[in-house]
Amino acid sequence: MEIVQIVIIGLCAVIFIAVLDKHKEFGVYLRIVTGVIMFFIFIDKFDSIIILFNKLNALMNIDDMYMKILFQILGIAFVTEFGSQLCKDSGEKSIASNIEIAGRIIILVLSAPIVLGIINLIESIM
Amino acid sequence: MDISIIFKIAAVGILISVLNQVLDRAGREEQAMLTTLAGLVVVLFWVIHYISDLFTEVQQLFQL
Repeated sequence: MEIVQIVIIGLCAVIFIAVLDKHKEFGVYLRIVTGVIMFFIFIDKFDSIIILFNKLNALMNIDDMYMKILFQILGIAFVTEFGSQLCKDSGEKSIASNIEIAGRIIILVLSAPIVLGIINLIESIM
Repeated sequence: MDISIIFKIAAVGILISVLNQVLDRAGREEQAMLTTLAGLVVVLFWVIHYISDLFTEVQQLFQL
């Protein structure tokens, strides 16, 4: 039932942002705080997903390194999306695209060992 | 994570815009600008705590 909570918070924030239309700065603050509050609402759900992933990992005995990289990429993607959407909402499209480019580069760097692992796997099969 | 922060920020925003109008009508544009800045700084202090909480939580959750 958290989804109802989230929607209500979002609508309240939208109304307040509309009220404070003349002062754009308060709108930015409201967007940031709403994003943070919603994150803390669905963070508990995320712990159960992590437990599920660890169980899967134990079953399929994949190397722990890949799972760790997977989570790091997930975290970076989340933070990048959070930041770039906030900038886009505030009307700064160029800063948003810069943040997205930086996020993609960091994810690319993080995923390098996985790519190497796949290539080694293919070589070993052939 | 209490939701009252949203209402606090909205209250400060509305207060600032009213003060701004009043000071503008009274012919003191500088004070109006200063009160807006003061309001912004106050809200910034509140928001900074929330942002730092978010990033420490993300780092701890995703083992960044």
